[in-house]
Amino acid sequence: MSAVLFFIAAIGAIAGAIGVIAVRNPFYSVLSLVFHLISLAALFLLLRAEFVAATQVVVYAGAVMVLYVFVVAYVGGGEELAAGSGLRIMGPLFALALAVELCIAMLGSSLKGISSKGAHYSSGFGTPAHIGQLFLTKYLFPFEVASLLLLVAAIGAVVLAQRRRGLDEDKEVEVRVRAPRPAYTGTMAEAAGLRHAVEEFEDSGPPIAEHVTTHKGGW
Amino acid sequence: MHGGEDGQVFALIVMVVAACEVVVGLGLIVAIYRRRMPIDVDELHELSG
Repeated sequence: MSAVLFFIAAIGAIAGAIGVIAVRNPFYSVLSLVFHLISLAALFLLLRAEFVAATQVVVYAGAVMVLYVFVVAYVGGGEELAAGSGLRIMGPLFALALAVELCIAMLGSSLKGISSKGAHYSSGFGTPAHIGQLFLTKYLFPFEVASLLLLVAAIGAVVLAQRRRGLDEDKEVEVRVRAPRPAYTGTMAEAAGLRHAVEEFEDSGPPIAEHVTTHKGGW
Repeated sequence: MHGGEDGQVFALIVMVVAACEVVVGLGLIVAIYRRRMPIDVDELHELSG
C-alpha cells in the first residue's frame, strides 16, 4: 500500500516539476509548482515526517505559492528567450550536470538502504513536540538566525511597499482621478446630476472634487 | 545516517528562506512594475527610475 502511494506521489511530483518548465502560460506553471509541492508533502507523510508535511502544505504551498500566484497574475509573464541565444543551450546543459551530480550522490549513499525495511523509527519522530525540542536545544542557533531573517524580510517588505513623495507619484491613481470617465458609463455622479458626461476620454483638467463644490445635501 | 531527525529541521529552514525570498524578490518585482519600468533584467541596466 505504501508502495502504491509512493509511486502516485512520485509521479505527481515529477509531472508537476516538468509542468513548471514546459507549460507556456506562466500562471499554469505556478499552479503546477503548487501541485508538485503537495506531492512532496505526500512523500513527507510517507517518510513519517508529519509536521513537515503539514507545514509544507500550509506554509509553502498555501502562502508562498499563493503570493507567487498573486504576483504572476498582477505582473504577467516575461518573454521567452530568443531563439539563438547561448542560454537556450547552457540551461539544459547545467540541468544535466546537476542531474548527474544528484545521481552520483544518491547512488553513492542510498543504495544500501534498498533491501532493508527502512530507517530506524523512534517513536515521536515527526511530531511537532520532537521538532520543537530540536529547534530549542540542538538547532537553537539556526532557529534564531531564521527568525532574524524573517524580521529582516518583514522590514524589507514595508520599505519596498512605501511610496516616497517626490520620487515617484503613483501615476495610475492620478490618471484615474484626473481623467473623467467616458460618457454615459453610469457613474453615480452622473446619475445624481453632479457632473456632466464627458464625450471623450481625455486628460481634461482638475479632479472631480472641484466640480462638486455647489453640492448641498445627501452624502 | 538514515532515519535521523535533522533533515526535517533543514526542510523547515528551507521553507523559511523561501518565504523570505518571496517577500523580498517579489516585492522588488512588484515595486519595479508599479513604477512602469520593464521587468526584463536585460533592460534594467541603468537605474534611471
